[in-house]
Amino acid sequence: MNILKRFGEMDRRWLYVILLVMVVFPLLRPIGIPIDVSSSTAKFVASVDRLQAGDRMLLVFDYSIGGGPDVDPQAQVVLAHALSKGVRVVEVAFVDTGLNYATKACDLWVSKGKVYGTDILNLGYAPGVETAISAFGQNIEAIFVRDVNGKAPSSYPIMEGIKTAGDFKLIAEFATGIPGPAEWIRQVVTRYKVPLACGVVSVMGPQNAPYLQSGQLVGLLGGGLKSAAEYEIAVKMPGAATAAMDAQSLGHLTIVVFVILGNILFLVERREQKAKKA
Amino acid sequence: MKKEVPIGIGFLVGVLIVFEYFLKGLWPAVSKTATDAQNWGSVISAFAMGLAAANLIVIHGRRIKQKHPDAWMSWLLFAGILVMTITGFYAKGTAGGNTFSFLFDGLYLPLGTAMFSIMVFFIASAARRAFRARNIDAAFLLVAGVIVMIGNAPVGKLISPWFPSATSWLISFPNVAGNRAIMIGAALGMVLTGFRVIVGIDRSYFGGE
Repeated sequence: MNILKRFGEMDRRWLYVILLVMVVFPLLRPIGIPIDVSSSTAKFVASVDRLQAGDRMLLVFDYSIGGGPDVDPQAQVVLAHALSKGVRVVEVAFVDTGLNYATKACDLWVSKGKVYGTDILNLGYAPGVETAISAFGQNIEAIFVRDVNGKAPSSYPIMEGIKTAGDFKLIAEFATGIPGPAEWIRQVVTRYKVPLACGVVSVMGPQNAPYLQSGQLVGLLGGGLKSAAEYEIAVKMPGAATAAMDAQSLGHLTIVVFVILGNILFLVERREQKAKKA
Repeated sequence: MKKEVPIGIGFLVGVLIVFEYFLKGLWPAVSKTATDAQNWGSVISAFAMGLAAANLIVIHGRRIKQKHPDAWMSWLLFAGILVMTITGFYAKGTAGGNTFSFLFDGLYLPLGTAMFSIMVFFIASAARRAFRARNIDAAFLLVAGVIVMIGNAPVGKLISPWFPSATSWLISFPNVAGNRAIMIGAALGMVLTGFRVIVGIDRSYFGGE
């Protein structure tokens, strides 16, 4: 009982230290907790696997800096998977900070030997959220007159025959808020019947689960970094997300232990108060 | 006329976009006009970002003029805007090997992610004192939250294979049912609000009642 009371009165900075140790320790000394691939991740992997070499995929970087560590590993592994299959990828952003992630990803793959304009293309960023997505869906060149290098998208071989969002074989969108899956489903999926797979921060996962169940999404990475790790395991490309899973596991566990101890303490205190009143 | 003209424009554009959505490009002239109208929306959004920046400059300029004790923060903001704008113009869309990229990756990105990351410490603190089963509703929420937290981490299966299964059930059934109800309700609300704006009943978009 004394231990519980000490826990209740402990300076909160000690809780921070405990949590920090629990998160940093597995990063320095990995434990190797096995990672299972969930069905929603498996569906996402299958949707990329169905693409043939030469098919065009749209990769949408709709994420902010805050949620970047949760979503960026998802986008990176999906891009790596698609390019490894010979799928050609067109990048676009409807969130301003997404452009920087898109540009970094594009430059990385160009430095690894992919040809800009043939294997990968970066169209840039368009403001206007849902309105811009709708206009993009109808006529890509109406909203992206030039790519990030100042050239007309139609001047690149990768854009041959691509006029609307419906001309892509798959759209993969990664989001941390608005625009997110709902905006793309409303403006593009319903209208052009193009398959859409999404990756979102873990807090957005449950609210987007109905779209996966209804078939409006062909895949959903709804668990943030954990979904990225599952994807990395599924396509045998272990990376940053897989390495961070031990830390996330112990972090979750620590918070759950704090919740349980806090509630036991609450029940004990309540019982004591009742006894005093009696 | 001050009210009738904006309502008329709103009505025409609203009807155009709705019709175009269902025509799906069958009438090229309508499609082109609708795309143009949406492009205007995108351009106005870009102007709104400029307006927000101008507003920020006015507010912080006033702070500096009034010699506010925190005026040094406003100077810092001006320096940040100036440096990122100038280096951004020189970057010309490339990500590697320029000052803009160095500042973005070395300053903006770690600061942004750090702001988000420190939330975990507040959650740890709240876990001890705030997440309490004070009544039956709170108890349900707490138990579901704990199950999903454990089940969503790889360690969940190590503790018991029941955790991932229970998490999957909670997300696929009670969560989907609740969210679907909210989505359908919100969608009906959006249709109604859209109709009210198009026919001019809702005039809040131009400062009306």
